[in-house]
Amino acid sequence: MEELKKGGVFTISDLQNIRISIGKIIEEEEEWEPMGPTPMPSIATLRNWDFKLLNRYKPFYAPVCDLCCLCTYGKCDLTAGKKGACGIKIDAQQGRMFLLISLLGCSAHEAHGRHLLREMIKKHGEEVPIDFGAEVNVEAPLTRLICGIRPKTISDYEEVFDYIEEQIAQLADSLHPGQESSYMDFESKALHLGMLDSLSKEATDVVQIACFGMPSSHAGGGPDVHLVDVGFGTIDTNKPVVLVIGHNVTPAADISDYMMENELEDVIELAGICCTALDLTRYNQRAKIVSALGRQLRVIRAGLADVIVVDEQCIRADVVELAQRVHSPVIATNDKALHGLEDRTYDEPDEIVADLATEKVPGVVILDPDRVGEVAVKTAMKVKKRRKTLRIILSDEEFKNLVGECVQCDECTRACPNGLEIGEAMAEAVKGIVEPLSDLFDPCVGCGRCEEVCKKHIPIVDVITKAAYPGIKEEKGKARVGRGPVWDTEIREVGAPIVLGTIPGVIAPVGCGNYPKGTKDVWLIAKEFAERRYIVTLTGCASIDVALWKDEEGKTLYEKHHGAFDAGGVLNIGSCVSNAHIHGAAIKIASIFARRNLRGNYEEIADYILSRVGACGVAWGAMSDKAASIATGFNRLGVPVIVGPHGSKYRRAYLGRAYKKGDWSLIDARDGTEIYFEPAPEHLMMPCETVEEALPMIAKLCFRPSDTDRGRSIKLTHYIDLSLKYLSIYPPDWHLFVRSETDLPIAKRKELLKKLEDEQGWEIDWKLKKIKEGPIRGYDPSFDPTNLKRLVRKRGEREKG
Amino acid sequence: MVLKDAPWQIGNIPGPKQAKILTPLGAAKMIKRAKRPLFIVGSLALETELNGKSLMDYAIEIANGGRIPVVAVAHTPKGFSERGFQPDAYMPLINIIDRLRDADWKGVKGEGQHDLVVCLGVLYYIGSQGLSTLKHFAPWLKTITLCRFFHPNAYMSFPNMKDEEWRRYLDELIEELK
Repeated sequence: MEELKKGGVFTISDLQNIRISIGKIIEEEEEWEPMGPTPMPSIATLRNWDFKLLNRYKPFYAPVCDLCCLCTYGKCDLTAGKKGACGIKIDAQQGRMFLLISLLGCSAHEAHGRHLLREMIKKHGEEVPIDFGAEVNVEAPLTRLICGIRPKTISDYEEVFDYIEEQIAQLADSLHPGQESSYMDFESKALHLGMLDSLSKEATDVVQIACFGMPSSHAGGGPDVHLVDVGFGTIDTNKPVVLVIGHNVTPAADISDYMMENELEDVIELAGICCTALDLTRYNQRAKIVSALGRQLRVIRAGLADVIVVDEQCIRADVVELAQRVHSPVIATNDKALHGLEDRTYDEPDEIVADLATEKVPGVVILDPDRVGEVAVKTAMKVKKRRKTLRIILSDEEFKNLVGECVQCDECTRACPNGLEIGEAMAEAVKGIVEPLSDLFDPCVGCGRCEEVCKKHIPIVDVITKAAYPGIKEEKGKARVGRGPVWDTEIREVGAPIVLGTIPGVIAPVGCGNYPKGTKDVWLIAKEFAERRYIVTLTGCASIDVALWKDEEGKTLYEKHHGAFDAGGVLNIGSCVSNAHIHGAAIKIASIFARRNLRGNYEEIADYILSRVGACGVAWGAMSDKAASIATGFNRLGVPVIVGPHGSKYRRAYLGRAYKKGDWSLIDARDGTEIYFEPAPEHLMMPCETVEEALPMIAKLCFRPSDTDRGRSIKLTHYIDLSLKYLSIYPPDWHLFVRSETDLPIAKRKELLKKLEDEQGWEIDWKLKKIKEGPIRGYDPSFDPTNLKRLVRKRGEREKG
Repeated sequence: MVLKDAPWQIGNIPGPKQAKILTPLGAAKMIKRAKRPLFIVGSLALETELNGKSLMDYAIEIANGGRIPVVAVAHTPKGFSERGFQPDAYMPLINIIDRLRDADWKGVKGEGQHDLVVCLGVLYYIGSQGLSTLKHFAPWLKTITLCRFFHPNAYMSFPNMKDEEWRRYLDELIEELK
């Protein structure tokens, strides 16, 4: 039997020429929860749920391109209702493009996870246990919910990745000309990919937590995770600097191991950009985060790194060219991003180091992560000696000459995603006033497009960096390292206040750094809601960028606020893949607090979250395809997402129409009655133009039909207050969220009743200070909202209550 | 020198149907002829000054001169309230665009769907996306933009120009609307 368990091949002597191969012995699984209706759903399984969402939150399209050029009939002009040669129309084409975007995003997360799992099984074997400590029993809520599996060891994820890969292939197929044609079905498929994306992220993070011993609920985890240095100014450039960039931490972990084994931790500076940096600091407490993705070009061009190690995702396509310019060799470590470099995986490390250190080659590929550490560290040490004499930052003289060459043609401004007035700042710098140029450093998204169009070939990025350099050198922030899963014990404490509304919401600033006006906006969002005692859960670049800003006492938000999943907490959940734990927290509220079955029960849990869990994702700098699939994964689970203005270029939003009564009906699960309700939440995915517009909108998207009157009054207070603070007006729709006078904040009740009477024509009984007529519906504390008829309780259940 | 009718953001080339150049006189005529025009004022109006005069003030003069209902988007209600001007509606840009593509919507005054949208001060790229939506999905609507950036997704757009020329365009428009 042991042989069979190992997956061996055997023959039965009496039967000639027959070979029976047994791949895996399915052991009898303990019955941990009854299986729900949709384990491992395929493309159409949850289509009805998607259509419920899409009929309320209608797809809104803003084409970036009016053409389709995906087959040789094209290019086809689809403007304003014209059909393409294949018969497709502009709305379906936009749905198709969004599906493609989601496919790219989900594939990136899934392939990262699969790659990591293979490496970990090779290194540690299949039986690495998934044990996140005493506080986390529901270790993988998305895996349980979507697949119906309770993973015990990392090898259980083979089946999960098999499932996702099969779905990805089916969904990719639906993009081909001659396949799907309906925009609603493209959207349903995008939502399916979003869900698969969330599962991929969870799978990846579970595997890396288990194998690298990243924080969970063992000692030093959860709210007690340590703080890590963040910022340009934290890097000690007197030491050789190894800079890691990307998302797959495996090679960075090997560098860390090599440093430790050779007692080089005090000798070498190990730092990173983007999610690899976040995950590295979950593994090595002394590693540092130089920056989020938005500063990648500038960090490389500033010459901080003596060697650059890239793994996968969010790496600049010109990384080798940029690195060559500052004499930093590049080591590519992942077969998905080889950058044209030679594969030297099995060469002698010292030979590779010699070639890199002498710049005989600009970089190499090393695909075995266990061989990266030695080469990276030795190269950094050798290169450092040579690079010490280099001066990378412009001299004062060079700076003066370069700004003097600008002819104010405005082409840089036209090329800049944020339309920064670079020419005007150059003109000021010519007069010796450098502040306008240095002020561009933060709002610059670091794309370098300005330089591509500059007729005078001014290295604009370097010029801005030079102007800002005195400030950059002092940039020293602190972030909590990624804590991974929210604990079950925390959910037990806050499940009720969140569902009842007395903790007014969970705000999740996540994702990339394509901010319209710099990193400070995402800090402001986190600060505003943490101070209002929402729970703020950050991941990815957003979790890094908020650490760059300090209050008047010199404290970052991480230093000022606790790290528990509780009111007023500011949590760094971790890298982009850790983002799945935010979904996980919402799911755990349904399972642990509300005792809903999780297993293979996606629709019911999403229905619960949409109606009861006041959470809102905020991808203020959303840039990548991954950010789109992340947002779409939140959406299918019933969590709305706000993106910044650049997010409008995803081409698609999901908008509710509060003025259409028919769109806002729910079922009371107690008896099946149809109830018209307030638009809560009003939208599922929307871009906002400015942060001032976004702040009240975030508060608004935390309203839920299940709010108690106390909870609703707290949410209403923040919605009105944020609108007054940032827009100087009462929100024009605040009355929609009032069900009874008890929903009104006590301190303002009289004033608000008067406004309802005067401005909305509501009938008020002033003697009793009660609303007699006006609201969309009355407040009923026993209301049991659902969108699913099948959840209406049968008579016997009703009698039990 | 930037071409007058090149998309202001270099890569913003949508397709075969692109805006025609609009003059101040043309804008005034379209506003006067429209049955139910609507004026959308966006966030750049708060940050832009022309010769010491805020773009918010230009917006108010255009709204008053053309008697056009105003939708304040982004955080412009702040600027309007500081000037004692009451816009007809406030909502995020994306929501007014969504209403404008809805044939059944009755307009900000409840009198029927609008037939002309005038935009000023909306952040270029999100504005361009909104205009794209209207170009494709609101065939009953004409869209014009009064910014100093050429918007290819509009029906008609002021050309790319420097501040001084733009100021003259706005002054001329206000004069024509009187």
